[in-house]
Amino acid sequence: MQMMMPIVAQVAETAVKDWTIPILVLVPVIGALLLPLITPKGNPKLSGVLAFVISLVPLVMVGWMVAKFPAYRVEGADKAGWYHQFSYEWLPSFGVKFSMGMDTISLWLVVLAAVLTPISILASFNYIKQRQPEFYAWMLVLHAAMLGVFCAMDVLVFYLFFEFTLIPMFFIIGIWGGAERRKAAGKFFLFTFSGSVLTLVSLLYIAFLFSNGYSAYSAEAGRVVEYVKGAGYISFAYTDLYATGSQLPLGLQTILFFGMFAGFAVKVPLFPVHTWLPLAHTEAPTAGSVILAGVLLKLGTYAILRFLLPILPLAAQTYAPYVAVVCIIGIIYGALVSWVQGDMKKLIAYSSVSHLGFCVLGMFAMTEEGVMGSVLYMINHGLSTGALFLIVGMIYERYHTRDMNQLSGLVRRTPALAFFAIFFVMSSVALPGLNGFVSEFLVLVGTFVSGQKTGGDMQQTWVYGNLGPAYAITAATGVILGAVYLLYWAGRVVFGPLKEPVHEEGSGHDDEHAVQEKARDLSGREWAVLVPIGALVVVLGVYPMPVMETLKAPVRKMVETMRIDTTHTAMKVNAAEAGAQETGKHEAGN
Amino acid sequence: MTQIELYHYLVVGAILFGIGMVGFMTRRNLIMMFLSTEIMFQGVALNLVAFSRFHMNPSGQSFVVFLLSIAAAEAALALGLVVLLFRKRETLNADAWSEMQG
Amino acid sequence: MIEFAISKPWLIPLLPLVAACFIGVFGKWLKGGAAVPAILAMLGSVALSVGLLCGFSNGTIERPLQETVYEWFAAGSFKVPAAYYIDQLTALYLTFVTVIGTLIFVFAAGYMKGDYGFWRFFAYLSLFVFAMTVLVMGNNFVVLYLGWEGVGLASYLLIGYYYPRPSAVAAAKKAFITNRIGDFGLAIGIFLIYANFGTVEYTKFFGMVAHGHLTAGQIAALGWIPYCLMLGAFGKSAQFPLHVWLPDAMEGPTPVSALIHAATMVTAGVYLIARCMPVFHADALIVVACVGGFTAFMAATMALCQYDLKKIWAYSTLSQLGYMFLGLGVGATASGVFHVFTHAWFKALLFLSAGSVMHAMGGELDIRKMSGVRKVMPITCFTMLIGCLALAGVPPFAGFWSKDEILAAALNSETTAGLVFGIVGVGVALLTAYYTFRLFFRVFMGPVSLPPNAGGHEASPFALAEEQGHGQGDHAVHGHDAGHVAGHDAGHGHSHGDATKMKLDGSPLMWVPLLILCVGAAGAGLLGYFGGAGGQGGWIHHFLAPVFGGGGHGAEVAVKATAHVERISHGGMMILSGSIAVVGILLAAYFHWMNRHAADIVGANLKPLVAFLYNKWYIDEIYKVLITKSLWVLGHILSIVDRYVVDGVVFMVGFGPQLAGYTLKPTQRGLLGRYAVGMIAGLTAVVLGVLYLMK
Repeated sequence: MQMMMPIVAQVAETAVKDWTIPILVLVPVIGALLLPLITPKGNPKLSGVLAFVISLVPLVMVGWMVAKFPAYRVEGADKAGWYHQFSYEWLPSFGVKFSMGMDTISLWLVVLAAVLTPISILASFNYIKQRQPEFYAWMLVLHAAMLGVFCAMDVLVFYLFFEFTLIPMFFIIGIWGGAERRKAAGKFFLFTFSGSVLTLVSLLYIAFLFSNGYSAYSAEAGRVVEYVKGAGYISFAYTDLYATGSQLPLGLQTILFFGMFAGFAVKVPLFPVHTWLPLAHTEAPTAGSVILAGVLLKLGTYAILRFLLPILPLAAQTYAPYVAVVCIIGIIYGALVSWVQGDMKKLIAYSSVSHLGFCVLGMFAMTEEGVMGSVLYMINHGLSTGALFLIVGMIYERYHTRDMNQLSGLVRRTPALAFFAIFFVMSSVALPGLNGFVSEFLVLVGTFVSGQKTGGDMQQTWVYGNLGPAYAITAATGVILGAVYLLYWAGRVVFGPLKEPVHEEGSGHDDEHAVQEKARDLSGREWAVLVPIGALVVVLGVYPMPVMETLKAPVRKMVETMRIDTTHTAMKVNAAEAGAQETGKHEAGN
Repeated sequence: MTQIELYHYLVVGAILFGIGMVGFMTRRNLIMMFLSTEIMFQGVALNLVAFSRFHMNPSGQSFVVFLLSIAAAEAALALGLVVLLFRKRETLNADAWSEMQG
Repeated sequence: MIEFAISKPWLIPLLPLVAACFIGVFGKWLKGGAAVPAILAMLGSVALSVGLLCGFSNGTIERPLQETVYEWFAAGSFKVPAAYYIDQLTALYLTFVTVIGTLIFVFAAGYMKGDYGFWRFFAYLSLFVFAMTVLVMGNNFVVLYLGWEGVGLASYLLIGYYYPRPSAVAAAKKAFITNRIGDFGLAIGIFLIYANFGTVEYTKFFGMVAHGHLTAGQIAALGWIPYCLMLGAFGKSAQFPLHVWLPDAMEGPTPVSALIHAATMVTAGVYLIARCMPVFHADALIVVACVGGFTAFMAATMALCQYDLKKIWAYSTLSQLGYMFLGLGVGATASGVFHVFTHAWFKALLFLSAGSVMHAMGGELDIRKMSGVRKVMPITCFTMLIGCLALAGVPPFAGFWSKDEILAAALNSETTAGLVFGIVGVGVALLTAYYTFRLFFRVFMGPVSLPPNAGGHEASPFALAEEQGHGQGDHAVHGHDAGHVAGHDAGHGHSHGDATKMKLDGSPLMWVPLLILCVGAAGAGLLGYFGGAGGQGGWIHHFLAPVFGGGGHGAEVAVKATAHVERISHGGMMILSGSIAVVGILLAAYFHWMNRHAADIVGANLKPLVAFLYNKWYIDEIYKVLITKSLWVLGHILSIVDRYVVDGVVFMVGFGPQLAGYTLKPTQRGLLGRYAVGMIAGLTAVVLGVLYLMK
């Protein structure tokens, strides 16, 4: 009964109506609807410019929100709380409220989406040559969905936006992609969709349990235990699901855990369900790849952080070692496979598999260091991998090939492009001083100390996480391999003797000038595309503290919900082995 | 003369439905099959009216009114379709159309 | 100056960084002037570093400077301040890094003149110095890691400077990745330190260790931490088995080699171990001594049979680094650091002199193809001679004093390993003197014979294939395109016939720094003997005493707390190593100056051995097969597995529903009658089922 109290309070305060987030999401939607209408018939190219201008509106709004975000502006504000809440009774009979809001984790991911979308639109001006208004309209729809998904506070709203990102992406790959675009789009859609259906079922079941309660015979207690008391109404609000799921016994949590994990793992993607990613990346147009790698993959990691860990902490702790093994296999496997790719885009796509292994590993470390590292990893991976895809796109626009065997020594021809290539490669291999380092290092530190008592308070009975040094050390080999494949790419394409693909005689566009014309270095527009990302990469590498300061409270709150009480009998029984180990360590430590 | 009970109506309805059913299964002529479905329809409608009277509840009869009017509309549409199909293949044999096979 | 240096020491790394950024942005327009901001920034750093050194030396600064500039990042209890910690060790490192760095910069301004990537080169060099100064200035392991990887990046860029050469790119990659393996060890060490001590700051960590009262977990961790740190140090300082990158690093322009080998980068490993000496237990020190001694020996043998001027110096660097680690391993920390200091001077001198030779000989580095160079390059000959004497350990030149201390400490060490490798070290000293003067006599003495393109230009690696056109020869890009190494200002018009009349010492920008370095190479060693405040030790021991805890007594007493046995006296050691050097030189003089034919005969008789040494013990080949190739093949296998097995399994999952569809397909024939039968059968089944259930 005590448990129910905050939920009732939650229901009472639904009157909040801060319109900031709905406006944020609606601007690109309206823009997308208007775009085909306002684009001049004779000049479809203009639609890109218009879309760019429209996509700047959310960016400006987000910038304003960052500057004014109450959690760190208002004295005494709940730093881990949700702000800019908007709630609207959507389907009252099903308990679905259209509730949106932001905490700082959402905020920075929204920033990521708001930064990358204008950039990728700007990068598409030359790449997209047909059906331009349509393309940009889909980009804006995608933008809205991405902004919405991070701001959802209700599972069904989240799911709505989560699935809605699929549709524009499906068309972007399927219409403007490469030769195998249909297959890629289909595979992309089917993989992520079938995964997320399992997720939905699990979430619905938890919502059902919230309403109806859950009682079962408990072997430890020797009687029927009422784990969850039914609330009598259905709710999909995050907080309600947290309160329900975390009370369930391990057996049920396990089933729900794997149901939810299936969907998120596909989205991330983790080994072995990553095979849609290389294909989708290779076939997608540059903007699609950037958004896919930069933001859409983060939906999976964000969802793991937002749902999987807090709703099912017991199962998450119990199965963290297994998940970590999958992550580590992904890290090493992705790196090795990436190394031998001949297609630049595939190389970077597999590097995402490797990198996101780190990201998920950090979350399942369930330590403050690890979770903080993961959250930063989402942002940093979005920036650096997004930028690498932009660079591959720029190379492709110049040479119409992504084959590493046909290109070499580009620094001689396009020094500025080469500079950025090396710069983002370094960011991606986690060179200290650039953004990637902070997150990767924290993830590894977090994994290393997971399962041990950390910090000054050695007397506490709490243990954070269930991993340990062995996982961190194995994962750290990925740091070496990361340097191997990315420097291999840089050495082949950026450095080396100059080699440019030869235009075949008699091909479609074989006027003499085209053959003779040398690839130009970055245009002003391309500078405008790369410089903002570069600036963020440096800022987040040199002085990430402002961002980390804001993330501290929600990360801590999240970790607090997942800690293991070593004195708690239920946990000991449920994770007997792990618990025994921890206790042993604890005693040895003192 | 015994009273006509509920079950008499039900038996008639069942017989109508059975005739329609057998007709639908055995005939190949589209119009005949359509007529058979109409007969099944009427069997069901009769049941509804009978039960309505038996329970002294008018909603059953009002259902039948709706049902009849929809059946009429459906008949108009179906016959139109049959004519169209006949024009295409010059036959009314139902087996002539099997494009929807898996 | 000292006060300013105390208040703003963070300017030392910042100035080169600003210079690097400035040159990076405006370099295109600066052209030949790009060296100016870099050198100016370096001079600023020099002034500050020397200020700090003087401050420590004359007692103005009493305790180490420590201050947080800002908080870099923090999560949970893991806090990383961007803070500096400056004690005597740091000040010493800063001084020689910046001073020698500046001289190398000046030399490079002459050496690289007219090069296609002139400004790029100086941006990288400045970045290098930035990273190195950060490395030694940080107050915690993560800032050290920043510098650690930073020098890795800078070396990557500089070794791969001649990027059109595939070999340069490969060498750069190799350097970075090998270093990464070391960094991996360092990172694990940092994790261990944090996980068990809750901090990454030196003072707190060492304080906890010194204070005692450690938990069982902490003691266990302390057993492992030195080995992890050691791996990092071995990677950066190119010790066996991670030494393979350093010889390949010769692909970079010569000033880079000088910078990497002398002042920066490779000395970082020594710094790390010297800094972390409080946590190195006896077992770990033995490993350090063994690896150091073994590397010293291995690299010295490799150097014997090389013909490439720069490669010989590269192996000698490995070998000398081995000495330093041997010194650290037997507990003579101050002596190890002293050797770093002296080595920085004479190795920079040697490399720059080699660069000068290379520059004059049109890019030729093979010592078999040149002889009697002293005639055309008198200044370089002189500077090289000083450097060689210092390296060979002839008293009173720099190398003698520091090497002598290390060997004495090793021979007097209590441990067997120390004694064994001390004896090996004495043998290595002989080899060192021999290979050093082998090079010197081969190149500078004997009859004058120059390679055909001496005085000409090295073919620019930057010349584009299309611009090179027909002439593939060395002179193909003679002065008609900006994209080549324009070389020096001696003009192009020499005829090779009167080679002896050429003056090839290059511009004063090149030989003035050489002469300055000569002073260091000749005199730096004296700091180890004179200037101490009484007792046997010199100024350097006195200066470093607060860091390493010795009392300023000199080599023997600077040995860490471990007791030692007196096997050889200081004076005896001096006589021994001095005479060994002379023997080595005499041997070299006989074989490579007086009677070169004899060397050929010996070489011919020992062919397998020569091949073994020339091919660097085939270690590269072994690594290539065992690691690179096998991982590459594994990558390919996994790639195939990915495409067919992993994707295949997922495809099979999708195939299940499809199969079900195929199975049920015959039931859907499109015949209305069949559907009707099916419908009614289904209806009947449902009715019967319901009836059955209701019964």
